[in-house]
Amino acid sequence: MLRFIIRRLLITVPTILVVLTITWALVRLAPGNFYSNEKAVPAAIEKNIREKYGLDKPWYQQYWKTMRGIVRLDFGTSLKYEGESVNAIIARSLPVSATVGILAYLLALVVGIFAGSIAALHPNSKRDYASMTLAMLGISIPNFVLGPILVFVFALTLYWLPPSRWNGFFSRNLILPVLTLSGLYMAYIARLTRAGMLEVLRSDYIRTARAKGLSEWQVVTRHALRGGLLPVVSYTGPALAFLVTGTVVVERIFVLPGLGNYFIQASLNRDEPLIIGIVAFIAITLLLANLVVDIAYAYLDPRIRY
Amino acid sequence: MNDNRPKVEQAKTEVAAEPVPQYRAGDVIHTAPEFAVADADVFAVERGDAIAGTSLWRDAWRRLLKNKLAVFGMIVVVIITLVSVTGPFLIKLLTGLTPDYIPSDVSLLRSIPPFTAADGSFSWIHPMGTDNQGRDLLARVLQGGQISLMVGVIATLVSLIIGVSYGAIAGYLGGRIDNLMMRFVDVLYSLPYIIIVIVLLFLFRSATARGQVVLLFFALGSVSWLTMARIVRGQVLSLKNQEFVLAARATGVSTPRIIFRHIVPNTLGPVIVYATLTIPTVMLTEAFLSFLGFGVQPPLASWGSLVTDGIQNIGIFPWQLVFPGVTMALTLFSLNFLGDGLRDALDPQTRKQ
Amino acid sequence: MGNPNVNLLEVKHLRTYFDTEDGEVKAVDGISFALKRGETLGIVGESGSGKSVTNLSIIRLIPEPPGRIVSGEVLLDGVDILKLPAAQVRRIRGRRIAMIFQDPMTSLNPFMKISRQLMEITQLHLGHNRGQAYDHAIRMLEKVGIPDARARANGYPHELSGGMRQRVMIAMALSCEPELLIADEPTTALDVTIQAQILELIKTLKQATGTSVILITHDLGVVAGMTDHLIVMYAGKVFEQAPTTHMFALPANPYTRGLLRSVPDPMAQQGELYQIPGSPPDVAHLPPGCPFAPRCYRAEEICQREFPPMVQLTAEHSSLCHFAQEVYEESKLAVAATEPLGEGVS
Repeated sequence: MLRFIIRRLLITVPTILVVLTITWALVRLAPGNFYSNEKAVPAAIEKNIREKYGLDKPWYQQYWKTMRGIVRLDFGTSLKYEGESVNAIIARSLPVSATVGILAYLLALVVGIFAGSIAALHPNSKRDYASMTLAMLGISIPNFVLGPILVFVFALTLYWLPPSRWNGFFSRNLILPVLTLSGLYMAYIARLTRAGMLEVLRSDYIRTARAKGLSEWQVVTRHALRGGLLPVVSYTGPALAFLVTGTVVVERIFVLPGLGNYFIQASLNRDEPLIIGIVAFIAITLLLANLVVDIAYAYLDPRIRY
Repeated sequence: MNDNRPKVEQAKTEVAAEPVPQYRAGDVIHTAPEFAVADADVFAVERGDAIAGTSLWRDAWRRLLKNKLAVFGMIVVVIITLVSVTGPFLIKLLTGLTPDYIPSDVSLLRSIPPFTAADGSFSWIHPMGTDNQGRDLLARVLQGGQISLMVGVIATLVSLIIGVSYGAIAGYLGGRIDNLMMRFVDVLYSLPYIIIVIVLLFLFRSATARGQVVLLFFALGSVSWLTMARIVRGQVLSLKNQEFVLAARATGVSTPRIIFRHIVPNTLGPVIVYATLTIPTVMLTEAFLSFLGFGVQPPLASWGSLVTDGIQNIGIFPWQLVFPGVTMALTLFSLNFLGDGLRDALDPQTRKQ
Repeated sequence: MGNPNVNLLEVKHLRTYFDTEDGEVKAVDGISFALKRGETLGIVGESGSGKSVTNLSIIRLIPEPPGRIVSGEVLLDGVDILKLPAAQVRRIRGRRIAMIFQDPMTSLNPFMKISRQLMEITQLHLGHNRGQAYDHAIRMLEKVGIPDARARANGYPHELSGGMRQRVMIAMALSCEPELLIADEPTTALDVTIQAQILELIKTLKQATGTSVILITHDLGVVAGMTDHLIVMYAGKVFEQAPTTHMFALPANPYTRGLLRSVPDPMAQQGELYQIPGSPPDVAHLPPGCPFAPRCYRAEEICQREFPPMVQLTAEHSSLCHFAQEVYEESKLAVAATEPLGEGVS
C-alpha cells in the first residue's frame, strides 16, 4: 500500500508540471496581453511594464521563473490586484469555495444514497420511477437555471432566504448556493447507487445472505451497501473535478468571493500569475483528492491490492 | 466423475461459456433474479447466433420501443430538432419576424409578455414574448436550438473521433503503450477540464461569433473523449483475441485496417449509447460556458446565452428565463432518457428486470 | 426431534412461474415429493429443468418479480412454509433449512471477512455473542477440513480456492445444525478431483449430524452413491421418481434411460457414449404433448398430441410417460439379458 502511494505521488508530480506548462504556454501563446486589454499603451510605458514583470526576458527564463515559484508553492503576485500575492488570494477565497463545495457534496451523498437505495430495493415501483425521474431532472436542469429559479422562489417571492452574497460560514446565505450546487450530484449519486445496488442485490452472495435468514434490512446494510456503493466512491474523483466547475457557476450566481469567481476575473483580466496559480492549486488538490479516493477504494474492496 | 462428460454436462458447459466475454472483470454474472430466465434465454441465444447481426439490432430496437421513457425522449428530440431547423423559416414566413429583428418602432423596444401585442391585448404574434430589445423570443429560442444542438452534435462527433481512435489504438496495441495511454487518460480525468477549456476559449477568443462557435466545437470535443476512449479500449481488449481478428491478422491485413475496419465496427453499440449521452453533457457545458461569457457570442444565441440573458431579468420578465430554460432542460432530459433506453436496449445484461 | 418415520419435508403440487419478455415461463409446474428425516434425495435434470427453482421455492428465495409461486404446499414438519409470514420463514432459513449454492466463487460476500460471514449466522439463530460465534466458526472451519482455520477465517473469500470456498459454504450452512441441507449443484463449478472431496465431505457430515439432504445435480454419477431417492426433472415436471437403486436398475422413462446411457460406464468395454439427441426445450414455448417427445427414441403420435400420465409402477416408483409400463418391462428384460447396466436397448 505504501509503495502504491509513493508511486502515485511520483506520477502526480510530473502530471502537475505538464498541466502547468500547458496552461503557461496557452496564456503565453494567446494574442494580446494583460496591460493592453482595452486601449493601446504608449511604447515607453509598455517597455516599463514589460521590464517590471520580466516580460522582456526570453521565454525560457520566464518559464523557469514561474515553475521555480510553483515548486516552492509561491505563485507570485497578482497583476490586477496590485501588490497582493496569489497565495493570499487563494487563502482568502478557498474557504468560501470549500465550504460550499463540501456541504453540497455531503448533502448530495446523503440524499442521493438514500433515494438510490430506495429505488433499488423497489425496482420498477412508483417510488423507483418517481425518484429516477427526479434524478433525471436534476441531471438535465443546469445549475445556473436551478439557482436563479431557487432565488426567484425562495428569496424574491417568498422572502424566506437571502438571495445572494457571502455572510460568513454558518449563515442562511449558504442554503441556496449549497442546494443549487448539490442538485446535480444528488441526481448522479442516486442513479449510481440505484445501478450499483441493483447489480449487487442480484448477486449470488446476497442470495446466500438471504438464505442465512437475515432480514432484508440486515441484508442491505451488512451485505449489499458496501459493494453497491463502490461506484459512488469511484465517482467521487470525477465529481470533485466537476464540483470545481459547479462552484464557479454558483459563486457567479450568488456573488460569493470564492476561488471560481477570482478565476473568471483573472481570465478576463489576463492576470497570468493568478490564472496559473489557481490552476496549479486546483490541479494539486484534485490529484491528491483522487489519491485519497483510490486508497479509500482499496480499503473498501479487499480484492484490490496494489 | 469422468473426463468423458455425458451430454447433459456438455449442454451445461456450453451454456456457461457463451456469454462470458461480455462482462467486465469483477462483474457478478449468475445472478438470482435472472437465473431462471437465463436458463431459458440460453437457448434463445443459441438459436439467435445463426442469424446474429441484424436480429441483434432488431431486438434492441424492439426493446427500445418497449421503454416508454426512451420513446418519449426520442419523440421529443426529433420534434425539437425539426422545429429548431424549420421554425425560424416558418416564423419569418408567417409573421415576417427573424431572430435578430429589432423593431425600429421605439415603443416596441421592451420586453413583451407571451401572447401579448404591443398594446397589451391578446395576440399570437409572440407566443414566448420578446426579449429586452423586442426580439421575438420564440424565434430566438428556435435559432438558439440550432446552435445548441449543432454544438452538441458536432462536439460529440469530434470527441467520438478522438475517443474511438485513442481507445482502439490503446486497446489493440496493449501492453506498455496501452498502460501509458490509459494513465494519461486517468490523469486528464482528474483535472478540472472546464478550467482548461475556459483558458483555451478566452485566450483564443475568435473575432467573429461564428468563429467562436467553431472554437467551441473543438474545445468541447477535445475534453469530452475520455470516457469514450475507456469504453472503446475495454471493448477492443475483449474483441482483439477473437477468431475473426486472428483470421484477419493471419491473412496479412495491416494493423490500422484491422483496428478500424474489423474491430471498431464491432464496438458500435456502446459507442452509440455513450455518444447519445455525451450530446446532453456537451450542450450543458456549452450553456455553462455561455453563462460565464465564454460561449456563443452575440448576435448568435444558444439556449445557454438566452438563459443567461433571462437570469438578468428574472425578477421582472420571468418568461425570458422560463422558455429557453424549459426548452433546454426538456431536450437534455429527453436525450438522457433516450441514451439510458439505448443502453438498456443494446446491453440486455443491465436492463431492468 | 420429531418422529423419524414422518416426512420432514413434503412438497405438494408446487408451481413456480416466471414472467419474462417471452411470456410466462413455467419453471416448476406441479412438483410433488417427500423427504424423510436423515434421507438424501437427489434431483436430477438438465439446466432449465426447474430443479434449482424448486429448491429456492422451498425456502421462498424466488425473486419476485419476475418469479412467483403460483400454488402448492411446502410442508416442513407439517407446517406450510408458503403460508408463513416472512419473519417466520427467516427463522427457518439457515436455522432449519440451509443451502449451498453452485458457484462458491460468487456465493460468498467478497467484502466481508470469512469469520464474520460464519459468525453472523450463529449470532442470528443461536444467540451467540461474538466470542462464542467466533469459536464456533473456527470449529466449523476445522470440521470441514480447512487447514489453518484461524488464519483463513481472518481473510477474505478471494484468497481461497474454489474448493476451499465451497468448504466455507458448507461450514456456514451446517453452523446451526439444520434439519435439511439443500445442496444446489455443489460441485459443478469445481475441478473433478475437488468434486469428489466435497461430495465425500457432505456425505461424512450428513452421517455425523443426521441432517437430511437434497442434492441437486445434472450429473447422475454424483447421485449414484449419495442418495436414497431420486427425482428426474424435465421441463418443470417430475418425469420419474424412485429409490435410487431401483431407478438405476429399472428406469421406466425414456428420458431417464437416455440419461443413464449417457453416463460413462467404467465396466463397459466397447461402444460410443450415448447422447440424447436435440437440446432441452424452450420452457416458455412448450408443445402441447410430452415435452420430451421431440427428443424421444420411443415417441409415437400420441406423445406429440397428449400430455402423458403419471404411471405408478410400484409403491415408490412412478414415471411420466405414455409408455411407462412398456419401458419398465423393457428395462426388466434388459437386466435379465445382459448383466452390467447400461447396455442393450436398441
